[in-house]
Amino acid sequence: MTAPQTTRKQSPIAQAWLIMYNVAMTAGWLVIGLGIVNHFYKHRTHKGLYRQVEKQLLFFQTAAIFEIIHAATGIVRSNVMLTTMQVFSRVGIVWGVIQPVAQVHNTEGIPMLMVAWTITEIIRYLYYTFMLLGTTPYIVVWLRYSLFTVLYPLGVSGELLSIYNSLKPVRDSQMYSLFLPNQLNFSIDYHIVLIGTIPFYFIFFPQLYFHMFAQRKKALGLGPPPSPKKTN
Amino acid sequence: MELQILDSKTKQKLCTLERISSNTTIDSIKEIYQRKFPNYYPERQSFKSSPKGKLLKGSETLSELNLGAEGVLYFKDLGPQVGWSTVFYCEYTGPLFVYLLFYFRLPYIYDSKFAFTSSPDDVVHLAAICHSFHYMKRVLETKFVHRFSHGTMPIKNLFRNCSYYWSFAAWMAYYINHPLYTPATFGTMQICSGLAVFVLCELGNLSIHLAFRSLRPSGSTQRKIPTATGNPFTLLFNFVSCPNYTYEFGSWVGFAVMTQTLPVFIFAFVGFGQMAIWALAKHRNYKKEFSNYPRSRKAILPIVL
Repeated sequence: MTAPQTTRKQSPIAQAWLIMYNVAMTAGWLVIGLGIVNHFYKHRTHKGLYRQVEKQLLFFQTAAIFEIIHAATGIVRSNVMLTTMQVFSRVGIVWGVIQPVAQVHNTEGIPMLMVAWTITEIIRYLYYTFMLLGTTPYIVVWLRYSLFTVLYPLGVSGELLSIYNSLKPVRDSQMYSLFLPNQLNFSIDYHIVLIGTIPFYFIFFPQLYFHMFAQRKKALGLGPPPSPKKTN
Repeated sequence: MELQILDSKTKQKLCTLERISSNTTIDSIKEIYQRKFPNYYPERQSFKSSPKGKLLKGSETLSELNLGAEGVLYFKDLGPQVGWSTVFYCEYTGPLFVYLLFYFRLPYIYDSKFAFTSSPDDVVHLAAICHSFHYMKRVLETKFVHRFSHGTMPIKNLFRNCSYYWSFAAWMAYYINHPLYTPATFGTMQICSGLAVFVLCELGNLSIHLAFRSLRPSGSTQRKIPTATGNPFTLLFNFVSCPNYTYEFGSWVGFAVMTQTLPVFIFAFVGFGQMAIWALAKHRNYKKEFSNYPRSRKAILPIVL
Protein backbone atom coordinates (compact mmCIF):
# COMPACT_ATOMS: atom_id res chain seq x y z
CA MET A 1 0.00 0.00 0.00
CA THR A 2 1.54 3.24 -1.10
CA ALA A 3 1.20 6.64 0.52
CA PRO A 4 -2.20 8.27 0.08
CA GLN A 5 -2.55 10.06 -3.18
CA THR A 6 -2.86 13.79 -2.91
CA THR A 7 -4.18 16.10 -5.52
CA ARG A 8 -1.85 19.06 -5.60
CA LYS A 9 -2.12 21.52 -8.44
CA GLN A 10 -3.80 18.91 -10.61
CA SER A 11 -4.73 19.35 -14.19
CA PRO A 12 -8.48 18.66 -14.45
CA ILE A 13 -7.75 15.96 -17.06
CA ALA A 14 -5.42 14.18 -14.65
CA GLN A 15 -7.97 14.42 -11.89
CA ALA A 16 -10.77 13.17 -14.11
CA TRP A 17 -8.62 10.28 -15.29
CA LEU A 18 -7.64 9.30 -11.75
CA ILE A 19 -11.23 9.38 -10.55
CA MET A 20 -12.33 7.21 -13.45
CA TYR A 21 -9.41 4.86 -12.90
CA ASN A 22 -10.04 4.38 -9.20
CA VAL A 23 -13.80 4.04 -9.63
CA ALA A 24 -13.26 1.44 -12.34
CA MET A 25 -10.76 -0.48 -10.21
CA THR A 26 -13.09 -0.41 -7.20
CA ALA A 27 -15.87 -1.75 -9.38
CA GLY A 28 -13.62 -4.41 -10.91
CA TRP A 29 -12.46 -5.80 -7.60
CA LEU A 30 -16.06 -5.69 -6.32
CA VAL A 31 -17.02 -7.87 -9.25
CA ILE A 32 -14.18 -10.26 -8.37
CA GLY A 33 -15.37 -10.21 -4.75
CA LEU A 34 -18.89 -11.08 -5.81
CA GLY A 35 -17.49 -13.86 -7.96
CA ILE A 36 -15.66 -15.30 -4.96
CA VAL A 37 -18.72 -15.09 -2.72
CA ASN A 38 -20.93 -16.59 -5.41
CA HIS A 39 -18.53 -19.46 -5.98
CA PHE A 40 -18.30 -20.37 -2.30
CA TYR A 41 -22.07 -20.07 -1.90
CA LYS A 42 -22.71 -22.42 -4.79
CA HIS A 43 -19.86 -24.91 -4.43
CA ARG A 44 -18.58 -24.66 -0.83
CA THR A 45 -15.03 -25.39 -2.01
CA HIS A 46 -12.06 -23.41 -3.21
CA LYS A 47 -11.70 -25.79 -6.14
CA GLY A 48 -12.76 -24.06 -9.33
CA LEU A 49 -12.54 -20.63 -7.70
CA TYR A 50 -9.63 -19.45 -9.81
CA ARG A 51 -11.23 -20.50 -13.08
CA GLN A 52 -14.36 -18.63 -12.05
CA VAL A 53 -12.60 -15.30 -11.51
CA GLU A 54 -9.56 -15.72 -13.77
CA LYS A 55 -10.46 -13.29 -16.53
CA GLN A 56 -11.40 -10.46 -14.17
CA LEU A 57 -8.34 -11.06 -11.99
CA LEU A 58 -5.95 -11.01 -14.94
CA PHE A 59 -7.52 -7.82 -16.26
CA PHE A 60 -7.80 -5.79 -13.09
CA GLN A 61 -4.56 -6.89 -11.46
CA THR A 62 -2.63 -6.16 -14.66
CA ALA A 63 -4.33 -2.76 -14.96
CA ALA A 64 -2.49 -1.79 -11.77
CA ILE A 65 0.51 -1.12 -14.02
CA PHE A 66 -1.13 2.25 -14.62
CA GLU A 67 -0.23 3.15 -11.06
CA ILE A 68 3.44 3.02 -11.97
CA ILE A 69 2.76 5.52 -14.75
CA HIS A 70 0.78 7.69 -12.35
CA ALA A 71 3.71 7.81 -9.92
CA ALA A 72 6.27 8.32 -12.71
CA THR A 73 4.37 11.23 -14.28
CA GLY A 74 3.77 12.73 -10.86
CA ILE A 75 -0.01 12.94 -11.04
CA VAL A 76 0.00 10.76 -7.96
CA ARG A 77 2.43 11.50 -5.16
CA SER A 78 3.92 8.06 -4.65
CA ASN A 79 7.43 6.71 -4.73
CA VAL A 80 7.98 5.26 -8.20
CA MET A 81 10.35 2.52 -7.11
CA LEU A 82 8.09 1.35 -4.31
CA THR A 83 5.01 1.36 -6.52
CA THR A 84 6.86 -0.53 -9.24
CA MET A 85 8.02 -3.20 -6.79
CA GLN A 86 4.53 -3.69 -5.39
CA VAL A 87 2.77 -3.83 -8.74
CA PHE A 88 5.41 -6.09 -10.26
CA SER A 89 5.24 -8.50 -7.36
CA ARG A 90 1.47 -8.87 -7.79
CA VAL A 91 1.64 -9.06 -11.58
CA GLY A 92 4.53 -11.49 -11.23
CA ILE A 93 2.55 -13.86 -9.02
CA VAL A 94 -0.50 -13.70 -11.29
CA TRP A 95 1.26 -14.14 -14.63
CA GLY A 96 4.33 -16.04 -13.45
CA VAL A 97 2.98 -18.50 -10.90
CA ILE A 98 -0.79 -18.80 -11.02
CA GLN A 99 -1.94 -18.33 -14.59
CA PRO A 100 0.65 -20.56 -16.32
CA VAL A 101 0.65 -23.40 -13.77
CA ALA A 102 -2.69 -25.22 -13.85
CA GLN A 103 -1.76 -27.44 -10.92
CA VAL A 104 -1.77 -24.38 -8.65
CA HIS A 105 -5.35 -23.35 -9.47
CA ASN A 106 -7.06 -25.58 -6.95
CA THR A 107 -4.51 -25.34 -4.14
CA GLU A 108 -5.12 -23.68 -0.78
CA GLY A 109 -3.02 -20.60 -1.39
CA ILE A 110 -5.42 -19.35 -4.06
CA PRO A 111 -8.47 -18.62 -1.90
CA MET A 112 -6.16 -17.11 0.73
CA LEU A 113 -4.58 -14.60 -1.62
CA MET A 114 -7.84 -14.00 -3.49
CA VAL A 115 -9.68 -13.03 -0.33
CA ALA A 116 -6.79 -10.92 0.94
CA TRP A 117 -6.18 -9.11 -2.34
CA THR A 118 -9.86 -8.54 -3.11
CA ILE A 119 -10.79 -6.99 0.22
CA THR A 120 -7.59 -4.96 0.30
CA GLU A 121 -8.00 -3.61 -3.22
CA ILE A 122 -11.68 -2.75 -2.90
CA ILE A 123 -10.94 -0.66 0.17
CA ARG A 124 -7.75 0.83 -1.26
CA TYR A 125 -9.35 2.01 -4.49
CA LEU A 126 -12.41 3.22 -2.61
CA TYR A 127 -10.10 5.19 -0.32
CA TYR A 128 -8.29 6.79 -3.29
CA THR A 129 -11.61 7.63 -4.95
CA PHE A 130 -12.82 9.43 -1.86
CA MET A 131 -9.48 11.25 -1.47
CA LEU A 132 -9.82 12.51 -5.03
CA LEU A 133 -13.37 13.65 -4.42
CA GLY A 134 -12.29 15.55 -1.35
CA THR A 135 -14.07 13.88 1.56
CA THR A 136 -13.10 10.53 2.98
CA PRO A 137 -15.46 8.83 5.43
CA TYR A 138 -13.56 7.79 8.54
CA ILE A 139 -14.78 4.20 8.19
CA VAL A 140 -12.88 3.87 4.91
CA VAL A 141 -9.70 5.25 6.47
CA TRP A 142 -10.13 2.97 9.44
CA LEU A 143 -10.68 -0.10 7.27
CA ARG A 144 -7.74 0.70 5.05
CA TYR A 145 -5.35 1.07 7.95
CA SER A 146 -6.73 -1.72 10.11
CA LEU A 147 -7.65 -4.72 7.96
CA PHE A 148 -4.10 -4.99 6.66
CA THR A 149 -3.09 -6.41 10.03
CA VAL A 150 -4.90 -9.61 9.08
CA LEU A 151 -5.03 -9.39 5.30
CA TYR A 152 -1.35 -8.72 4.68
CA PRO A 153 -0.10 -11.89 6.43
CA LEU A 154 -2.98 -13.81 4.84
CA GLY A 155 -2.07 -12.62 1.35
CA VAL A 156 1.64 -13.24 1.79
CA SER A 157 0.96 -16.75 3.09
CA GLY A 158 -1.29 -17.45 0.12
CA GLU A 159 1.41 -16.22 -2.26
CA LEU A 160 4.16 -18.26 -0.64
CA LEU A 161 1.96 -21.36 -0.63
CA SER A 162 1.15 -20.86 -4.31
CA ILE A 163 4.82 -20.44 -5.21
CA TYR A 164 5.64 -23.59 -3.24
CA ASN A 165 2.89 -25.55 -5.00
CA SER A 166 4.12 -24.38 -8.39
CA LEU A 167 7.68 -25.66 -7.90
CA LYS A 168 7.22 -29.30 -8.84
CA PRO A 169 5.03 -28.68 -11.94
CA VAL A 170 7.47 -25.98 -13.11
CA ARG A 171 10.47 -28.24 -12.63
CA ASP A 172 8.77 -31.12 -14.43
CA SER A 173 7.59 -29.05 -17.37
CA GLN A 174 10.79 -26.95 -17.60
CA MET A 175 8.62 -23.97 -18.48
CA TYR A 176 10.19 -20.53 -19.01
CA SER A 177 13.60 -22.17 -18.91
CA LEU A 178 16.56 -22.25 -21.27
CA PHE A 179 19.25 -24.88 -21.05
CA LEU A 180 22.73 -25.26 -22.52
CA PRO A 181 23.92 -25.73 -25.17
CA ASN A 182 22.38 -22.84 -27.14
CA GLN A 183 23.59 -19.96 -29.28
CA LEU A 184 23.17 -17.37 -26.54
CA ASN A 185 25.47 -19.31 -24.20
CA PHE A 186 22.98 -18.53 -21.48
CA SER A 187 20.78 -20.62 -19.22
CA ILE A 188 17.93 -19.92 -16.86
CA ASP A 189 16.06 -22.41 -14.72
CA TYR A 190 12.66 -20.94 -13.85
CA HIS A 191 12.30 -23.41 -11.01
CA ILE A 192 15.41 -21.94 -9.38
CA VAL A 193 14.23 -18.39 -10.08
CA LEU A 194 10.99 -19.14 -8.19
CA ILE A 195 12.87 -20.61 -5.26
CA GLY A 196 15.01 -17.48 -5.36
CA THR A 197 11.99 -15.23 -4.79
CA ILE A 198 11.04 -16.92 -1.53
CA PRO A 199 13.74 -15.38 0.71
CA PHE A 200 12.66 -11.90 -0.41
CA TYR A 201 9.29 -12.44 1.20
CA PHE A 202 10.98 -13.06 4.52
CA ILE A 203 13.30 -10.11 4.08
CA PHE A 204 10.69 -7.56 3.10
CA PHE A 205 7.57 -8.69 4.95
CA PRO A 206 8.62 -7.55 8.47
CA GLN A 207 9.76 -4.14 7.22
CA LEU A 208 6.64 -3.48 5.18
CA TYR A 209 4.30 -4.83 7.84
CA PHE A 210 5.73 -2.63 10.57
CA HIS A 211 5.87 0.32 8.22
CA MET A 212 2.11 -0.10 7.75
CA PHE A 213 1.67 0.00 11.52
CA ALA A 214 3.54 3.29 11.61
CA GLN A 215 1.36 4.59 8.78
CA ARG A 216 -1.67 3.46 10.73
CA LYS A 217 -0.63 5.45 13.78
CA LYS A 218 -0.27 8.57 11.66
CA ALA A 219 -3.46 8.11 9.64
CA LEU A 220 -5.67 7.33 12.62
CA GLY A 221 -4.03 9.92 14.83
CA LEU A 222 -3.00 7.40 17.44
CA GLY A 223 0.52 8.59 18.10
CA PRO A 224 1.64 11.21 20.62
CA PRO A 225 0.57 14.70 19.52
CA PRO A 226 3.32 16.58 17.66
CA SER A 227 5.44 18.63 20.11
CA PRO A 228 4.99 22.42 19.88
CA LYS A 229 7.83 24.25 18.13
CA LYS A 230 10.63 25.18 20.53
CA THR A 231 11.22 28.89 20.85
CA ASN A 232 14.64 29.97 22.06
CA MET B 1 37.31 33.30 17.89
CA GLU B 2 35.53 30.49 19.64
CA LEU B 3 34.09 27.75 17.46
CA GLN B 4 31.29 25.43 18.57
CA ILE B 5 30.99 22.12 16.81
CA LEU B 6 27.46 20.66 16.75
CA ASP B 7 26.26 17.37 15.38
CA SER B 8 24.41 18.13 12.15
CA LYS B 9 21.67 15.59 12.86
CA THR B 10 21.07 15.87 16.62
CA LYS B 11 22.31 19.48 16.97
CA GLN B 12 24.06 18.40 20.16
CA LYS B 13 27.25 20.23 21.07
CA LEU B 14 30.18 17.94 20.37
CA CYS B 15 32.97 20.26 21.47
CA THR B 16 34.22 23.84 21.54
CA LEU B 17 37.39 24.91 19.82
CA GLU B 18 39.03 27.95 21.34
CA ARG B 19 41.36 30.58 20.02
CA ILE B 20 40.73 29.77 16.36
CA SER B 21 41.86 32.50 14.00
CA SER B 22 39.47 33.51 11.24
CA ASN B 23 41.83 32.49 8.47
CA THR B 24 41.92 28.88 9.63
CA THR B 25 40.93 26.45 6.88
CA ILE B 26 38.46 23.60 7.22
CA ASP B 27 41.36 21.19 6.65
CA SER B 28 43.09 22.62 9.73
CA ILE B 29 39.86 22.38 11.73
CA LYS B 30 39.76 18.70 10.81
CA GLU B 31 43.26 18.16 12.12
CA ILE B 32 42.42 19.95 15.36
CA TYR B 33 39.21 17.91 15.66
CA GLN B 34 41.16 14.70 15.22
CA ARG B 35 43.44 15.66 18.08
CA LYS B 36 40.36 15.88 20.29
CA PHE B 37 38.69 12.76 18.90
CA PRO B 38 41.50 10.52 17.63
CA ASN B 39 39.13 8.02 16.02
CA TYR B 40 37.90 10.58 13.52
CA TYR B 41 40.61 10.85 10.93
CA PRO B 42 40.10 13.87 8.65
CA GLU B 43 38.78 11.80 5.71
CA ARG B 44 35.70 10.78 7.64
CA GLN B 45 34.97 14.27 8.94
CA SER B 46 32.69 16.67 7.15
CA PHE B 47 31.58 20.13 8.18
CA LYS B 48 28.71 22.33 7.14
CA SER B 49 27.87 25.89 8.05
CA SER B 50 24.17 25.04 8.37
CA PRO B 51 22.60 21.69 9.34
CA LYS B 52 21.24 21.05 5.85
CA GLY B 53 23.85 22.96 3.90
CA LYS B 54 26.55 21.78 1.55
CA LEU B 55 29.69 20.06 2.76
CA LEU B 56 32.42 22.66 3.14
CA LYS B 57 35.58 22.42 1.08
CA GLY B 58 38.86 21.78 2.85
CA SER B 59 40.44 24.97 1.56
CA GLU B 60 37.66 27.32 2.75
CA THR B 61 38.57 29.60 5.64
CA LEU B 62 36.32 30.56 8.54
CA SER B 63 36.30 34.21 7.49
CA GLU B 64 34.90 33.24 4.07
CA LEU B 65 31.99 31.52 5.80
CA ASN B 66 30.73 34.59 7.71
CA LEU B 67 30.28 32.78 10.98
CA GLY B 68 30.48 35.80 13.26
CA ALA B 69 32.26 36.07 16.63
CA GLU B 70 30.64 32.96 18.10
CA GLY B 71 30.87 30.56 15.24
CA VAL B 72 28.97 27.32 14.86
CA LEU B 73 29.92 24.51 12.55
CA TYR B 74 27.91 21.35 11.98
CA PHE B 75 29.76 18.04 11.93
CA LYS B 76 28.79 14.92 10.01
CA ASP B 77 30.56 11.60 10.31
CA LEU B 78 31.04 10.16 6.83
CA GLY B 79 31.62 6.71 8.25
CA PRO B 80 34.68 4.52 7.91
CA GLN B 81 36.54 5.45 4.74
CA VAL B 82 38.69 3.54 2.35
CA GLY B 83 41.02 4.93 -0.30
CA TRP B 84 39.97 5.00 -3.95
CA SER B 85 43.08 3.11 -4.97
CA THR B 86 42.34 0.40 -2.43
CA VAL B 87 38.82 0.01 -3.77
CA PHE B 88 40.05 -0.13 -7.37
CA TYR B 89 42.71 -2.74 -6.57
CA CYS B 90 40.15 -4.96 -4.83
CA GLU B 91 37.42 -4.64 -7.38
CA TYR B 92 39.79 -5.26 -10.32
CA THR B 93 41.94 -8.11 -9.01
CA GLY B 94 38.84 -10.08 -8.01
CA PRO B 95 37.69 -10.64 -11.61
CA LEU B 96 41.22 -11.71 -12.58
CA PHE B 97 41.15 -14.59 -10.11
CA VAL B 98 37.48 -15.40 -10.40
CA TYR B 99 37.55 -15.77 -14.18
CA LEU B 100 40.52 -18.13 -14.02
CA LEU B 101 38.72 -20.39 -11.54
CA PHE B 102 36.20 -21.06 -14.30
CA TYR B 103 38.76 -21.07 -17.12
CA PHE B 104 40.72 -23.84 -15.45
CA ARG B 105 37.43 -25.58 -14.63
CA LEU B 106 38.12 -26.06 -10.96
CA PRO B 107 36.10 -28.92 -9.42
CA TYR B 108 32.47 -28.49 -8.34
CA ILE B 109 31.78 -25.74 -10.86
CA TYR B 110 30.96 -28.00 -13.79
CA ASP B 111 30.29 -31.72 -13.96
CA SER B 112 33.13 -33.61 -12.25
CA LYS B 113 34.23 -35.28 -15.47
CA PHE B 114 35.23 -31.83 -16.81
CA ALA B 115 37.34 -30.80 -13.82
CA PHE B 116 40.70 -29.36 -14.91
CA THR B 117 39.93 -30.01 -18.56
CA SER B 118 40.58 -27.51 -21.31
CA SER B 119 38.16 -26.21 -23.94
CA PRO B 120 38.71 -27.30 -27.53
CA ASP B 121 37.60 -23.90 -28.82
CA ASP B 122 40.29 -21.31 -29.52
CA VAL B 123 37.93 -18.45 -28.76
CA VAL B 124 37.63 -19.62 -25.15
CA HIS B 125 41.38 -19.23 -24.67
CA LEU B 126 41.28 -15.90 -26.48
CA ALA B 127 38.51 -14.75 -24.17
CA ALA B 128 40.53 -15.66 -21.08
CA ILE B 129 43.44 -13.62 -22.41
CA CYS B 130 41.22 -10.63 -23.25
CA HIS B 131 39.38 -10.64 -19.95
CA SER B 132 42.60 -10.96 -17.98
CA PHE B 133 44.26 -8.26 -20.08
CA HIS B 134 41.35 -5.91 -19.45
CA TYR B 135 41.57 -6.20 -15.67
CA MET B 136 45.37 -6.27 -15.58
CA LYS B 137 45.32 -3.04 -17.52
CA ARG B 138 42.92 -1.59 -14.98
CA VAL B 139 45.17 -2.57 -12.08
CA LEU B 140 48.21 -1.03 -13.76
CA GLU B 141 46.29 2.13 -14.59
CA THR B 142 45.29 2.41 -10.95
CA LYS B 143 48.96 2.21 -9.97
CA PHE B 144 50.53 4.35 -12.67
CA VAL B 145 48.00 6.42 -14.54
CA HIS B 146 44.99 7.59 -12.57
CA ARG B 147 45.03 10.71 -10.43
CA PHE B 148 42.09 10.82 -8.03
CA SER B 149 40.51 14.09 -7.02
CA HIS B 150 38.98 12.53 -3.90
CA GLY B 151 41.10 10.59 -1.44
CA THR B 152 38.49 8.24 0.02
CA MET B 153 35.02 6.80 -0.25
CA PRO B 154 32.71 5.19 2.35
CA ILE B 155 33.68 1.61 3.08
CA LYS B 156 30.32 0.17 2.07
CA ASN B 157 31.14 1.20 -1.50
CA LEU B 158 33.99 -1.30 -1.36
CA PHE B 159 31.63 -4.19 -0.71
CA ARG B 160 29.06 -2.98 -3.20
CA ASN B 161 31.60 -2.42 -6.00
CA CYS B 162 33.42 -5.70 -5.42
CA SER B 163 30.12 -7.60 -5.45
CA TYR B 164 29.26 -6.04 -8.79
CA TYR B 165 32.56 -6.78 -10.53
CA TRP B 166 33.23 -10.16 -9.00
CA SER B 167 29.69 -11.49 -9.52
CA PHE B 168 29.52 -10.41 -13.13
CA ALA B 169 32.97 -11.85 -13.80
CA ALA B 170 31.82 -15.18 -12.37
CA TRP B 171 28.58 -15.10 -14.33
CA MET B 172 30.31 -14.41 -17.66
CA ALA B 173 33.15 -16.82 -16.98
CA TYR B 174 30.74 -19.62 -16.10
CA TYR B 175 29.19 -19.62 -19.55
CA ILE B 176 32.25 -18.88 -21.66
CA ASN B 177 34.22 -21.71 -20.04
CA HIS B 178 31.29 -24.11 -19.87
CA PRO B 179 31.83 -27.55 -21.43
CA LEU B 180 28.63 -26.93 -23.43
CA TYR B 181 29.82 -23.53 -24.74
CA THR B 182 28.79 -22.81 -28.34
CA PRO B 183 31.25 -20.69 -30.38
CA ALA B 184 30.18 -17.79 -32.60
CA THR B 185 27.52 -18.52 -35.20
CA PHE B 186 29.43 -16.63 -37.89
CA GLY B 187 32.67 -18.31 -37.03
CA THR B 188 36.13 -16.82 -37.42
CA MET B 189 34.87 -13.61 -39.05
CA GLN B 190 32.71 -12.84 -36.04
CA ILE B 191 35.42 -13.76 -33.57
CA CYS B 192 38.03 -11.63 -35.33
CA SER B 193 35.84 -8.57 -35.68
CA GLY B 194 34.81 -8.83 -32.03
CA LEU B 195 38.47 -9.13 -31.06
CA ALA B 196 39.45 -6.19 -33.25
CA VAL B 197 36.81 -3.97 -31.68
CA PHE B 198 37.94 -5.10 -28.24
CA VAL B 199 41.61 -4.35 -28.88
CA LEU B 200 40.96 -0.98 -30.50
CA CYS B 201 38.70 0.08 -27.65
CA GLU B 202 41.20 -1.06 -25.02
CA LEU B 203 43.82 1.10 -26.72
CA GLY B 204 41.31 3.92 -26.98
CA ASN B 205 40.40 3.70 -23.33
CA LEU B 206 44.07 3.70 -22.32
CA SER B 207 44.74 6.69 -24.59
CA ILE B 208 41.98 8.67 -22.92
CA HIS B 209 43.25 7.81 -19.45
CA LEU B 210 46.72 8.98 -20.41
CA ALA B 211 45.26 12.16 -21.91
CA PHE B 212 43.37 12.88 -18.67
CA ARG B 213 46.55 12.37 -16.71
CA SER B 214 48.55 14.82 -18.76
CA LEU B 215 45.68 17.29 -18.51
CA ARG B 216 46.09 17.63 -14.77
CA PRO B 217 49.42 18.62 -13.19
CA SER B 218 50.72 16.24 -10.53
CA GLY B 219 49.34 16.88 -7.02
CA SER B 220 46.67 19.31 -8.12
CA THR B 221 42.91 18.92 -8.50
CA GLN B 222 42.67 21.51 -11.24
CA ARG B 223 40.26 20.85 -14.09
CA LYS B 224 40.66 21.85 -17.75
CA ILE B 225 38.62 21.21 -20.88
CA PRO B 226 39.90 17.93 -22.36
CA THR B 227 40.87 18.07 -26.03
CA ALA B 228 42.35 15.74 -28.63
CA THR B 229 46.11 15.20 -28.39
CA GLY B 230 48.51 13.74 -30.96
CA ASN B 231 47.06 10.28 -30.30
CA PRO B 232 44.33 9.60 -32.89
CA PHE B 233 42.25 7.69 -30.34
CA THR B 234 41.75 10.97 -28.48
CA LEU B 235 39.93 12.47 -31.46
CA LEU B 236 36.79 11.07 -29.80
CA PHE B 237 37.05 14.07 -27.44
CA ASN B 238 35.68 16.11 -30.33
CA PHE B 239 32.43 14.18 -29.97
CA VAL B 240 32.02 13.26 -26.30
CA SER B 241 33.10 14.48 -22.88
CA CYS B 242 33.88 11.00 -21.56
CA PRO B 243 35.37 8.95 -24.41
CA ASN B 244 36.91 6.61 -21.85
CA TYR B 245 33.42 5.35 -21.07
CA THR B 246 32.57 5.14 -24.76
CA TYR B 247 35.62 2.97 -25.38
CA GLU B 248 34.90 0.86 -22.29
CA PHE B 249 31.41 0.10 -23.59
CA GLY B 250 32.93 -0.66 -26.99
CA SER B 251 35.42 -3.10 -25.47
CA TRP B 252 32.70 -5.11 -23.78
CA VAL B 253 30.51 -5.10 -26.88
CA GLY B 254 33.48 -6.40 -28.85
CA PHE B 255 34.06 -9.07 -26.22
CA ALA B 256 30.35 -9.97 -26.28
CA VAL B 257 30.32 -10.36 -30.07
CA MET B 258 33.51 -12.38 -29.94
CA THR B 259 32.21 -14.78 -27.29
CA GLN B 260 28.52 -14.59 -28.34
CA THR B 261 27.48 -14.81 -24.72
CA LEU B 262 24.34 -13.09 -23.46
CA PRO B 263 25.63 -12.36 -19.94
CA VAL B 264 28.48 -10.36 -21.51
CA PHE B 265 25.98 -8.25 -23.45
CA ILE B 266 24.02 -7.72 -20.25
CA PHE B 267 27.21 -6.69 -18.43
CA ALA B 268 28.05 -4.26 -21.24
CA PHE B 269 24.63 -2.63 -21.05
CA VAL B 270 24.45 -2.45 -17.27
CA GLY B 271 27.92 -0.91 -17.27
CA PHE B 272 26.81 1.50 -19.95
CA GLY B 273 23.84 2.54 -17.86
CA GLN B 274 26.05 3.42 -14.89
CA MET B 275 28.68 5.12 -17.04
CA ALA B 276 26.01 7.13 -18.84
CA ILE B 277 24.83 8.49 -15.50
CA TRP B 278 28.40 9.47 -14.59
CA ALA B 279 29.08 10.90 -18.06
CA LEU B 280 25.93 13.04 -18.03
CA ALA B 281 26.92 14.46 -14.64
CA LYS B 282 30.50 15.15 -15.72
CA HIS B 283 29.24 16.71 -18.95
CA ARG B 284 26.88 18.96 -17.00
CA ASN B 285 29.72 20.01 -14.69
CA TYR B 286 32.00 20.80 -17.61
CA LYS B 287 29.35 22.98 -19.21
CA LYS B 288 28.74 24.78 -15.92
CA GLU B 289 32.42 25.29 -15.20
CA PHE B 290 33.55 26.37 -18.68
CA SER B 291 31.46 28.90 -20.56
CA ASN B 292 33.37 28.11 -23.75
CA TYR B 293 32.73 24.37 -23.59
CA PRO B 294 32.27 22.96 -27.12
CA ARG B 295 28.56 22.83 -27.75
CA SER B 296 28.52 19.98 -30.25
CA ARG B 297 30.00 17.58 -27.68
CA LYS B 298 27.76 14.98 -26.11
CA ALA B 299 28.36 13.09 -22.88
CA ILE B 300 29.04 9.47 -23.83
CA LEU B 301 27.67 8.54 -27.25
CA PRO B 302 28.58 10.76 -30.23
CA ILE B 303 25.58 12.74 -31.48
CA VAL B 304 23.18 10.61 -29.46
CA LEU B 305 23.72 11.03 -25.71
